[in-house]
Amino acid sequence: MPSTICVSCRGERSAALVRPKTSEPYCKICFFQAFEREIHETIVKEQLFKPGETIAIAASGGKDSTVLAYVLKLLNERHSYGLNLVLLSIDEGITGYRDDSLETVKRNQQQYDLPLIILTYKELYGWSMDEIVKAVGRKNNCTFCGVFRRQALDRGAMKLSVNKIATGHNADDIAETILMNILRGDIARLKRCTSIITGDESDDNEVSVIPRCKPLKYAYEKEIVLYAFYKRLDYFSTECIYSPNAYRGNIRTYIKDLERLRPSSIIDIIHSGEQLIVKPTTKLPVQRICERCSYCSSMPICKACLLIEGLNKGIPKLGIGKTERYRKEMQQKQDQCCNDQSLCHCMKEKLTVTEQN
Amino acid sequence: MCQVNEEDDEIFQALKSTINKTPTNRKCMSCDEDACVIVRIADPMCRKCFEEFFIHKFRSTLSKSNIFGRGEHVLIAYSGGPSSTALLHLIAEGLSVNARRRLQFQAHVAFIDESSLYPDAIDIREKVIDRITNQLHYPLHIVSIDDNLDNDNTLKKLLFQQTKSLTAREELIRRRKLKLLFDIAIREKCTKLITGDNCTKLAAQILSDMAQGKGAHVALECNLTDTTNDLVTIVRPFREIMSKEIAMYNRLNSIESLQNIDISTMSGIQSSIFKLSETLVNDLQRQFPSTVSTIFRTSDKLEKNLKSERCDLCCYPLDLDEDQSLLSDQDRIKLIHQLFDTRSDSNDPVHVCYACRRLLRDVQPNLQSNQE
Ligand SMILES: [Zn+2]
Ligand SMILES: [Zn+2]
Ligand SMILES: [Zn+2]
Ligand SMILES: [Zn+2]
Ligand SMILES: [Zn+2]
Repeated sequence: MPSTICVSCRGERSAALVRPKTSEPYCKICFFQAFEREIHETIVKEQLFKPGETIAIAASGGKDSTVLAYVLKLLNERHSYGLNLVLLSIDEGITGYRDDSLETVKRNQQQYDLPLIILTYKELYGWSMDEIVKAVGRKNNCTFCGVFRRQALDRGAMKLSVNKIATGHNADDIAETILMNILRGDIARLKRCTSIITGDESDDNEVSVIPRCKPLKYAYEKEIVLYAFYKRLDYFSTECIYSPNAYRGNIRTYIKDLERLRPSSIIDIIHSGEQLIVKPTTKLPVQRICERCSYCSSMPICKACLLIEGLNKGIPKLGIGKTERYRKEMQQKQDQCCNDQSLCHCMKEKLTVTEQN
Repeated sequence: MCQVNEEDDEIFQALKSTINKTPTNRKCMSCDEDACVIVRIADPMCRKCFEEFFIHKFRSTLSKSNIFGRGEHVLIAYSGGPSSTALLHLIAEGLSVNARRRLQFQAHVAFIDESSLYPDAIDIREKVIDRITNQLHYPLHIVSIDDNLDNDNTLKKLLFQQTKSLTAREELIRRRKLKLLFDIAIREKCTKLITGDNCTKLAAQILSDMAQGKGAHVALECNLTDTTNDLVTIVRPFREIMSKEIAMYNRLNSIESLQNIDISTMSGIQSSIFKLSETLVNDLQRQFPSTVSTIFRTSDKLEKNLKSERCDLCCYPLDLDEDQSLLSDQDRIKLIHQLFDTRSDSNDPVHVCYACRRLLRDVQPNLQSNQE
């Protein structure tokens, strides 16, 4: 079979793959270079980092965070960013659940020669998820895992006094989030989900204390997978065993169909999202600081501190299911639990049940 | 990723519980007659109350901000479809001498004829003339979609031979139509342009625009009054009315829309970005009856982009820096001057927005007949 020529080195090497972003044939070496160069350009153009900063890479062992860690390490050396990179993983303390992904992160630490810090819920909150479930039962633990998970990275980063957290959100994630927020009318998150730096879109009214950034914002998921594959990166693949339901499933299919008609669709959606300006009259919650832990909160005492107090006093119901409005907020927030590919405890339950059947 | 499903499920259930109710044996929510219509999710209504509700909604939208000046010349965009037919009907009633709060403007009607583009299109001009001129006695302005172009074949060739995607074809027609409507309005000294856009269509339009990189224009395109054009303000009195409600109103009043052919009726549901978006909105709306209104509310919370520099293709404000929006390709510049500029032989630089730049990638600019 006559081989196609790589469009980038123009025949020096034959093409090994078709780049999803451009639908053009590339050789491996040119694809790696293009992929890395684009992330570098994003970092420079958006001024994501300053020399001397310590950056915590949120490491879950999944493909996005593994590629992020690998590429940041590489670019930091290649372009002398002058950054101190640290891998930061959170262990919720759910027996058996984190084992595989933490093992992957530990191997990454060796492979990339980056310091790794694993913080447990026990260290961060004084309670592991297993202990919480024992104390509050299975019905209510969702409140805890939602609140605790959202704050865990931040609290970990505060504890280690890093300057920024880098997360593995890719272009597909962001495009999907933009459309999802339009369809559910979630204007606060819509506003935040496109910004490449600052507050984290996971929080509705608790803006992160530590700035976050998404260096892979313009990287296609397909390219991240290809990159990890051809570079033989070691990652832990968490395939969701549940097919996405009506709402999100519809949106995913829609984006796939759009890409088929126009391969640039994902980037086009992100451009659209970046152009949206939320009316100043639309009320966004006021931010203050928790009296106990100095974490951002819209109330005098933050949700996590309230929950911890309840646990410590043996009245875990404190802070759960307060008002209808709060319940609704939680509903939206819990959505986030899974964006970093982790399960909450209740779902782990479900998993076991399904396996038994 | 799994948690997501559970959360979505809850929303799903909450939304779903509001549907499964049928109007059988139910009473009108306003009076006590037997219901025959279900408007919003679970509100059954009798015919009389539905019509009152519908007309009230239309009239209150229009009178909300005293949009029209007394005696102002206003151009109504008529396509023959259900929405604009209902619109015309309501306006005619509102303008009639015995209307309760009489509308006070001077109505003109514009019809853009697309039939020259399709080989077996039925000419509905006669019907349009009969309806508008003979029955309603409004000044009617019919313009063909390829009006003002040197050669009759140019637009057709551009759309069907030089444009490689249906999305680009649809979007070019949409932009050209708007341009022609603005031209008629300006020529007839109309300062308002009323369109029949309903919120079901606008919801699909919002998604379609988002998907094409046109997010910057979403807020303007859904607004009741759209000041994209400095001389002619677009007014959308149906923006809060669902296509279903319009269909119901038409049925109850035996209002017949004209069978019309246009680019979208010629294509399958997966063939263009707008079609895909429309299908998604309709599918979701069936499962979650608040879909359309939620999308719509989202757009209402967005700030309008009112930059004064406009895109030469779609007429909406530019969302790129000046050096990025400037077109350099001579053939494409010429093409835009020909299709979208009424002062046809000008040599002004051409600026286009992000979405139009994407759109032009699907268009072969050479208008010369260099194809076999
Ligand atoms: Zn190459
Ligand atoms: Zn949970
Ligand atoms: Zn606190
Ligand atoms: Zn009634
Ligand atoms: Zn444009």
